[in-house]
Amino acid sequence: MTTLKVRNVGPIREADIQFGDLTVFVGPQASGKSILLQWLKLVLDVEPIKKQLADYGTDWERDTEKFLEAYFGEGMGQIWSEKSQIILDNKPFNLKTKLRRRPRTKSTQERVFLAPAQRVLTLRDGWPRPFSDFNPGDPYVVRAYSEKIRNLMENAGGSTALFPRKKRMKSEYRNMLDKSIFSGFALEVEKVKAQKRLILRAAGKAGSLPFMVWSAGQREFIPLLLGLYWIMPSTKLTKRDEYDWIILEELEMGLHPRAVSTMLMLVLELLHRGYRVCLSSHSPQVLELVWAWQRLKDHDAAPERLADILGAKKTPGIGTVVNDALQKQLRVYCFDHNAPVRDISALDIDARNRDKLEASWGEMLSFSERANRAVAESAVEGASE
Amino acid sequence: MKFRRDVESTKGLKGKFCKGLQALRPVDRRRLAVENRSRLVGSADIDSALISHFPDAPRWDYVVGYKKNVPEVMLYWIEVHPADGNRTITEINNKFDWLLGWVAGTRLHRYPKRYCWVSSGKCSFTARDPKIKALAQRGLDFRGEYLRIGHED
Repeated sequence: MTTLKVRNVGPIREADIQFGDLTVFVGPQASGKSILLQWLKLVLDVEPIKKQLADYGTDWERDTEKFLEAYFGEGMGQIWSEKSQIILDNKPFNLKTKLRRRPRTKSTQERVFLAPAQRVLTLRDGWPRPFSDFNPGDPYVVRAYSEKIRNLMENAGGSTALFPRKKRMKSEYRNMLDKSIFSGFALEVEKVKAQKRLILRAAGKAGSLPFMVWSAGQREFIPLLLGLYWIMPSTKLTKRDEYDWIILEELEMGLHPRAVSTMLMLVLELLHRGYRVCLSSHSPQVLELVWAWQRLKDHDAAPERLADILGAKKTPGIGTVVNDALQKQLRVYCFDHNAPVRDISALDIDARNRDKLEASWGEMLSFSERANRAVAESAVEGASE
Repeated sequence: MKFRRDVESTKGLKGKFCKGLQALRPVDRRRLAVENRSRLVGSADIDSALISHFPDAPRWDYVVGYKKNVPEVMLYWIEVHPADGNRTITEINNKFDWLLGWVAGTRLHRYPKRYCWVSSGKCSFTARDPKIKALAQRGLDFRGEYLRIGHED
């Protein structure tokens, strides 16, 4: 099991993370979830990151703060101090030493695929922006993600149809995505004069819908879909061997709960394909799945129950995925400002008096509890008057 | 309103008033956390007291009096019951129906009150569950494994 210890890095005072097959980070804004996930990528991919930054003209002059500004983004160099520590599998990660070495000239392979929360910014006028199109102060993970999906698009060959597309994802997922996100529209590449752009087209109709008129959820999801195409190359080639880790930040962004269920089904597919998956999330639905998933494992339940929760059809293909999912290890961590990161993997709602944070799933249930109480009390008070 | 007098004058509850939380079985008492014990005014075991009057009814467990805002006494009508499946929702609804019907004919009806369901074991419901929300609409608050009296009210 991979462990990552982080001490005094930005808002993270103390974090001892034991990654599962699926690891979920929850917590309020700016509590360090994204920073920790980016550190995981940096620790595992420092050489390819150095190379890509250097290839695009970044010179950090062997200075840690300058490098961190280039990696995490402008103003973020100060998240590292003399008290900061990163320890991966009990081995201290010495960034200073790593930065002293020149970037390797040979290409080095990444192990971590990270879809950043700001992925909507990767599309301009309906086409992924190149790495160099961003400001040098923009976070590396956004620039690198954009470049990756741009490459995918540029090398897509002559085909203009992106979704639905045969041999790209199981037909069950295509149907779920169609129902929950695309609503009968197809995603295509359209050429306006010499310029390519992504558009949505209603089935059997000539007119196209450009990026700016897509729904907020579609704008959020489509860059993610392109990323998923990258890591799920085809139904035959199940996994890109170089990648071990998939990090999806806030997969729920802009999406209706039905679409979130579809995304979570795709997370199960990623696990089935042999990736380890890390999520950061503000969605109680994500934790509700993990909570149910843990209990289905405890009860040795029929795997189909997991498919039921996600509204997936019980086909043999889905059956294999959910069966596999019930063998996976799940971990959940709760971040908060100026507090140690807490392991709340059990998501034990019985823990009310002993561990309020775990019982409320890192306060994800607090709103529901308060709403229930207010309604119950007002119902009693209203009946008494 | 005098809680002790009103308990004792209720048919079937004569002699059933207890100090503090003494009416509760020890195993159930451990499921309660009280903010200020000096504000506890007493309790009664409704279930045991009324067994001969309503032998086949889905009787409610307890009532606890607590001076939430002195001198006003708030009654906590507490049912400690499993919360491990849909069957228990039906059971709790039946119990709640019985309680509302029974208490309406007593002086205890006039008190400000909270109706609370405390799980006697593992919970299979979260606060987001529509069945829990349906109970809340009826006035019954599911508190999980613990009830915190005075803390959050």
